[in-house]
Amino acid sequence: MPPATPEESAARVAEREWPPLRARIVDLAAALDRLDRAGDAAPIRAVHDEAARLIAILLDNESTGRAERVLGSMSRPYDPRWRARFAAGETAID
Amino acid sequence: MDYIDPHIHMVSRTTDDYATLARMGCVALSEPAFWAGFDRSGVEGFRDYFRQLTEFEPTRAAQHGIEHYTWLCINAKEAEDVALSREVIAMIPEFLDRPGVLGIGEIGLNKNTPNEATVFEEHVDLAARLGELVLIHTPHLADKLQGTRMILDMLRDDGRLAAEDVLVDHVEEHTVHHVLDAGYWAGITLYPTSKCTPERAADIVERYGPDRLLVNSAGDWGPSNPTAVPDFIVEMRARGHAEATIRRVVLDNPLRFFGRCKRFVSPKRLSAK
Repeated sequence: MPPATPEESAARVAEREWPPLRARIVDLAAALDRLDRAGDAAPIRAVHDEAARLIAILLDNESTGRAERVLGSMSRPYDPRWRARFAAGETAID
Repeated sequence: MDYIDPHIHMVSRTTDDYATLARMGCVALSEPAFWAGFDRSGVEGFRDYFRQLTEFEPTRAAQHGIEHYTWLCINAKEAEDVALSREVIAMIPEFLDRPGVLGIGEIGLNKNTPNEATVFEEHVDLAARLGELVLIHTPHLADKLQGTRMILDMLRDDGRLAAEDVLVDHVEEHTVHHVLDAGYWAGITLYPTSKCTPERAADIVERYGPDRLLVNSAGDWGPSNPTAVPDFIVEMRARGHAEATIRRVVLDNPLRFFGRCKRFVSPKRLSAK
């Protein structure tokens, strides 16, 4: 079945999407500030680094599919040989 | 708009939620067997749970004019105990002919371990031998993509289940195309933090079309919103989608999938129209 295209103008989409997007950006900024206030220990730096890595994906305006790429980048790898690896005694595919 | 929530765990919700669902237009819901938040002590714990799913919850739902359907299995988390799982799987046929039972579910993977895969395949074998529908849980967060692809591998390698008889649930942007390309029904779960939002679900419907897509709340004992499906309806309307398109996802598709069950009886409120 083809994609479902709603009857909406570009102006209407921009008008609808901007307020929640702005709010989420402010939430993101506040969360990063919260991490800063928690100090510079290794667990905090790890979260900062991971957040920075993922935000870089968001800033790529050359291609769509950001949600898919962000989720994929946070996923454990898939190995089509998982059955053979389990048969060999492995208990996790990483 | 009349709608169906095809995946919600009402054993963990108060009766107030049934009242809210009824006010929001829910005509029916389906409740897969799941992890209760703790590991049950043995097979008799599951026997009592299956009685709750097939006796008490339909009664509670009916008091609010909602049809209750259910699915039976041992969930992926407790499937790490293969011996217990085999006892539960052996017990399932005792309950399959009870009113409202749609099939086997929600089976699946949790941490994508060998034991979980073994128990998943044994559930699939049961469903294939008995001609049952299957509802599948895909793992959370970082485990989801790997687990979904392993699940699709196992379904393909078994080969006995018709694609129209399988719903792969909790899809997100990085897994939905794998499920749809394989020909299965795909469920989008509207659940805070770990799964989708109504907005992202609407995006997925716009990108892939409403064919073979369902949405659900998966309301359970964690922070969850049992009115998530109405939120999706509101989001789709705000974007200008036709009522027929929205109804396709929230009512027609669940009815078509449930209708594949040989025991399925349509919700009384719909039959009366």
